[in-house]
Amino acid sequence: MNEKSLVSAADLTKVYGSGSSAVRAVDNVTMKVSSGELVLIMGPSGSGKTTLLSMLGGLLKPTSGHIFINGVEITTLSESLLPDVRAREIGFIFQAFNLLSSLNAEENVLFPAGLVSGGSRKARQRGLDLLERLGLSHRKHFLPKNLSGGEKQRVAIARALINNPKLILADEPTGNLDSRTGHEVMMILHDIAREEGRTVIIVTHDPRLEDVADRILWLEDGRLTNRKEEAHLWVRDPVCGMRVDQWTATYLATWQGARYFFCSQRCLERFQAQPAQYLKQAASGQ
Amino acid sequence: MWTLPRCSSGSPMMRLAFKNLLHEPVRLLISTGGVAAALFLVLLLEGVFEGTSQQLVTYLEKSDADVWVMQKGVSNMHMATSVLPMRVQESLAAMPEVQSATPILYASLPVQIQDRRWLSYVVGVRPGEKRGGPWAMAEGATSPKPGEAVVSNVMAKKAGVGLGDSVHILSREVKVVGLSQETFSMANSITFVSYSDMEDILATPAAASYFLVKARPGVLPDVLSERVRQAVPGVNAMTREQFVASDRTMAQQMGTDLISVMTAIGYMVGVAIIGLTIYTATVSRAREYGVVKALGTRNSQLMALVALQALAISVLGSLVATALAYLTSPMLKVLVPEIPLVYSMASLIRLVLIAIAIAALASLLPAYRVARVEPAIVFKE
Repeated sequence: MNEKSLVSAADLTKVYGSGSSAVRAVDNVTMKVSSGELVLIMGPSGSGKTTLLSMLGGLLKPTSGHIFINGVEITTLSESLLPDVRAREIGFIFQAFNLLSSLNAEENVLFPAGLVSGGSRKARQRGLDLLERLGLSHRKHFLPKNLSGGEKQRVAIARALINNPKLILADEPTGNLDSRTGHEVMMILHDIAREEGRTVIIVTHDPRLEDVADRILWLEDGRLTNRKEEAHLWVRDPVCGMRVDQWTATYLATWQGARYFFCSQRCLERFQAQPAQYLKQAASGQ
Repeated sequence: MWTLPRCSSGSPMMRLAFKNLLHEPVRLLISTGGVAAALFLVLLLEGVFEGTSQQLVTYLEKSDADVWVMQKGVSNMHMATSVLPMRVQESLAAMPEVQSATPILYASLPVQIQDRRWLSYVVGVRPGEKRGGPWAMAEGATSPKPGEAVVSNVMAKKAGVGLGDSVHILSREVKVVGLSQETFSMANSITFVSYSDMEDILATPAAASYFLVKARPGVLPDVLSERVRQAVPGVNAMTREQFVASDRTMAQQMGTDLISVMTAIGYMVGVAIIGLTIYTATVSRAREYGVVKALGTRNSQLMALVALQALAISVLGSLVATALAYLTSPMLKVLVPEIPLVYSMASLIRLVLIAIAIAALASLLPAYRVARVEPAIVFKE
């Protein structure tokens, strides 16, 4: 194992089902990610990206292979020890935000701090600092249902950082955000890696994140492969104008016989509400 | 190096448990209300049973006797018959520890008022004798003469009779001259007649059912009862406390099976309501529990959260049930005076303990469910 690697996986395989119905979601993946590195895992839908991320986060046991985080092999840890690893060493950021609906923003941020011994002592001030830094001080007493998508994701980021983890795992962190908010979140993740030296691994379809990534791992049929540049076909999201890879895009709609591709669920929904208006705007270059 | 996480639910889990409950007030209200209703019915049932049991021994408690003397082999008044020769009174009177010995004749007999028959404890007391007679009067004379009776005011009201009206005890017609209080329950009532009338009704001249013995000052009832058993052949003697306890035990034994079944049903309803509530809440929040697992919560902490929620509903339900019981008690006493209602401290303590047990039982299935939530669920859209 590389001494500088914070995360490394060796011969990682995950098989769902058995016999003739067995599916190799992740197939013999070996990878290393260093401290302070921002790495994207990209690839077509169903290529095994989320399964790989789940295993790296200790949320899913691999069928075979080994994962080391900060020098400790988590694949051999018992179920009773894994939660502490997740609480201390890993911060999670999700596409659907996954805030706890009954807790307000501040309580959501502080929640993981209460799960580690001694974590809650200085956590309150740190939580307030994080909310301040992410521009959410004035919203700290709001329940998630009263926050915008961008605010929810910033709360989720603060929550991921509260225990000072060395590793941040993010699954489509900009997937449910409009282009402006998505860009904000992208820059926050960039700062987390650059300024704080944390390792950030992001599963995404969002090509904007490529601009801030140190490395891109391309996953296809469960295997890490070279990225097929020629397979990309860049189109514009008719709602926000963002560049979208037609080949890997998750959000798409057909209207009047033509197919359109979107950067996020939000843009897709906006388009579906008023397709003619957005196509007219796109045609006029607005 | 990593250390073991805390096993206790800790403050974030407690906060989450209570916030989750309060986040869905309608669900909380329905579940607490359901549990409260079930436990209130249990309390009511036990209260009626306790009240009836107490009512059955009220006569004994109010008898103003230190020691009860009865036929040997008899140790109850309820469901028992005791016949003693009148000469026992002379034996008792001759004892230096005895201040007085008052005979009563007693039998459980039907009292017919108009077309309706009421089962009653009929007690024959000597005219002018206060011991053994009614202890609280609503109206009229305290001591019935031959041809007269003192009946329960509640029974009289329900039967539509008053002072001066006639009732029949077996075939003997007697006139109501007094209405007594605290002498009616669902299980029985107490009717007082003159001793001579009771001798005729029972065809037992020169006999007594029980002797109500008053000890001389300084003589302990325990000592006196022992002395009576030694000195007077063919009798049993019990202190008033012993006699009351004996009759209460018999009354409780007679109703225990029925009450046990009814209360068990009530408690099971409570378990079902809490279990269903927590289970549905757990299922509806399965994704959130997956999130908290992903964030580093252990299964034991989540199970504690579920148990805490069940406990909160259960304790809240038992508090509401207790409040309901005490608030409705005065109203029930007015609306249904024949139902004596007594909430004992033992009953309330038992309710709280059982509420805790209910919570533990009700949280088993939800705890199992929450333990099976996969944290990887968080990555699913």
